[in-house]
Amino acid sequence: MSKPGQKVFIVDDDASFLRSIERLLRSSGHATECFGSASEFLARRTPGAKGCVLADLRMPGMDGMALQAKLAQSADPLPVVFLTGHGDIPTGVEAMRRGAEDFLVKTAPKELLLAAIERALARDARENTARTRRRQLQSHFEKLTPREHQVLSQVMLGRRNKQIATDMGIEERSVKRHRTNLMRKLEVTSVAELVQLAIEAGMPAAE
Amino acid sequence: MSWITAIWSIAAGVSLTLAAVHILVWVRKRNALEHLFFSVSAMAAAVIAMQELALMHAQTPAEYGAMLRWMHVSAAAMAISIVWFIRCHLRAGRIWLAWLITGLRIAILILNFSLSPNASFQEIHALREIAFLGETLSSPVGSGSAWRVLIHLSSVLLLVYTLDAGVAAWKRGRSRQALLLSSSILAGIILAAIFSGLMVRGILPGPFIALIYLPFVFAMAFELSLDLIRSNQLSGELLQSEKRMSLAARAADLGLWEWNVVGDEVWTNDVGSNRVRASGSDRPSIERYLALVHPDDRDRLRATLHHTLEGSEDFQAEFRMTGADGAERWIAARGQVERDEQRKPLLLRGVSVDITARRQAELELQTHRNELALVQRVSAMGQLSLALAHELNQPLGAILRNAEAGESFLRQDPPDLGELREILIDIQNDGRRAADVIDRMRALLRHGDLRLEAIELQELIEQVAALLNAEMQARHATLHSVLPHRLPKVRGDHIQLQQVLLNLLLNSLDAMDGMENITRRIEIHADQVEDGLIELAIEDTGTGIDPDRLPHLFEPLLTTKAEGTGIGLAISKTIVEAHGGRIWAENNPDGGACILIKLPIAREEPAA
Repeated sequence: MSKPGQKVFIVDDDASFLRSIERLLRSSGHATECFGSASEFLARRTPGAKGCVLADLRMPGMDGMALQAKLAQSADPLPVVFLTGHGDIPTGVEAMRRGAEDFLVKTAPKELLLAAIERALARDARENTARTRRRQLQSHFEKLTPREHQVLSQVMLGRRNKQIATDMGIEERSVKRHRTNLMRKLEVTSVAELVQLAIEAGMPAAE
Repeated sequence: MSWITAIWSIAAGVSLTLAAVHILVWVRKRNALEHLFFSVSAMAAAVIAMQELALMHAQTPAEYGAMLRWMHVSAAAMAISIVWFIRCHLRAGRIWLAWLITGLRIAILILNFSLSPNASFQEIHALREIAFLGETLSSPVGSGSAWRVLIHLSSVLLLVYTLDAGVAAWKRGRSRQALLLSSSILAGIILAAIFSGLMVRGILPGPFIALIYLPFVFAMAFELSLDLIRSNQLSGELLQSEKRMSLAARAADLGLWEWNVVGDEVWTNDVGSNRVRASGSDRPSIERYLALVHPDDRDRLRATLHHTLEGSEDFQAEFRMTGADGAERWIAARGQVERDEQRKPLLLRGVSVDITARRQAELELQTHRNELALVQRVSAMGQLSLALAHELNQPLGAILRNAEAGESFLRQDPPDLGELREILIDIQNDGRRAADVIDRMRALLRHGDLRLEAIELQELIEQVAALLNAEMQARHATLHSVLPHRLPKVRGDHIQLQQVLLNLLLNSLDAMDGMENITRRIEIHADQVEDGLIELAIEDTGTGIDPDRLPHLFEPLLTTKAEGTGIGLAISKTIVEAHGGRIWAENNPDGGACILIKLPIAREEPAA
């Protein structure tokens, strides 16, 4: 079952199959939206939409793999479940390697298919939370001044205030003030918390 | 014996002998009437000779008169038979004149027997004795009959008739016969007229007709003998020629046959009759022969025979017959019709050859070709198997998902019947779609004999395109066909032409596979190029063909592909050539290859 706000975006050039899978997902309680081609989906989808993509691997024009690549580049990449008329192993492996949630033949058992969709939706929910948090963190980090950033990266390297002050050619007092400010801006109370947050926000532990 | 008796007897004997010879000839050759007429005239000459002999030795005027009266009968027989002999032999002379002379001579005969003593004399007073060739002979003394003018007239008419016939025959190139016959007859008539005049005047003892006619009889005999000799020669030559012909026919295993259309009799030479033996008489009817023809070929053969008799074309047919040994034989026959002046068919004459061995070899070769083609089709379909499985799983997947969704909808309360109806309709359509895919595959994998029919190219291309649809998509290629409206149909085998197209399209796909940054596009063009041919061009945007390989492209086992068997193009060439077409390859000026095929247009059957 999709969580509220989640949708299964179905992309297939075969109109009849598109209708049938839409019916199945709908009867299983999923919200769905259908697209006849990859480019139609990319053009019409609402930014920030939640859910997953169920796409045919083989389509004229842009195929499933190309769609996946485009999605991965976007800000909110949805998890993809691939369907194919006849599964050939190399393509499947390649799709999985590039991060597809699953790769199924169109005649796959219903349970497998629905399970894959569930997994993809769950992953989307998960990734969505992570993405939201990352965005929050990023907005926190954006509040830091360049000096505070410099101090932060030095702290991450595990250096003491004195060393930082010498290296930066400023007073140790100033370093302390920057540290207090940035910890307040980032809403942390300990250095350990600060380091964990910085790593979570994608800051390198060392330069 | 006196000279006179000797000479006249010899003349009579010679004439009689010739008469006997030619009557025998006529008995054997009933339509050679000239022999009959000659025989009659020679017989008449023999009788005249004997009568003259008796005449010259007559003792009383009454005896002389009676003898002369009977001589008129043989003279008339002679004149009439000469007239008709000329007509038959020279094939000339006016028919009304011939009848006029015949009638006149009969009229003279009637007069002759109604007058006394005969038609020549009004009265014979006495007989005069004349010494002739050392013998004393009788010569009449009396007055000539006024009716003698009729005898002269008949002689003049005979003269005119002979001259006219002689000139006509001369003009037609029979100069020797014309000259010999007419001059001897003319001389005879003139001499006979002179002699009979002399006889009437008592200068000669008789008309000496026997002697006068003797050279003519010889001339005629000479002519007829020449004919006989010539016909003997001809029959000898004919016999030789027949022997040679029969030898040649036997050596070549050539059956000779004649169908007498009027009498409905079939004659065959020994080769022909040994090959197929029609039961019953020596000269069976045509239906008896047709009964031996294979039932599948019989009506066609009968129609061809009929057509030949009605039309102006030569007879030509190939058919199966039950041979003398009971086995089926393939026969090829050709013949010509002989017609009369009204173009009515009289005879169909021809030759026949046993082509069973050739047919069998052809059949075997074709079977091998078909088998090889099938093997190659299977191999080509093998290349397509992934794509086809994909193509098939599309509708199957849709059916499955629809059925699953349908089950869920049924469990709802109340069930959404509208939705369910739509599901069922979709399932039906997809079932049909899946069946179509299988049908297309099965059609190509079928083992079939070559069956030539009229084929719409557009349809053929669409079918192959449907088969290749998934493969094209997988390889990111597109197919476009540009065919003019109302393109005539081609004559060919549906499956094998599909195979050719499939091979060429697969080749084009392979040629475009390794190339990056190109639009993978195949275009098919077709147009009528020259009388009776359609040219089909398949162009791709692939690598093109190495110019060194271009001349050998269609040779078997030449492949540059890792997975190819190398017989696809060779088979395609064999198929196209078996269709009476041609296939070759070119490189496009702007890259890619172009395969060109010429195929014969199907002759439109007239609408029934």
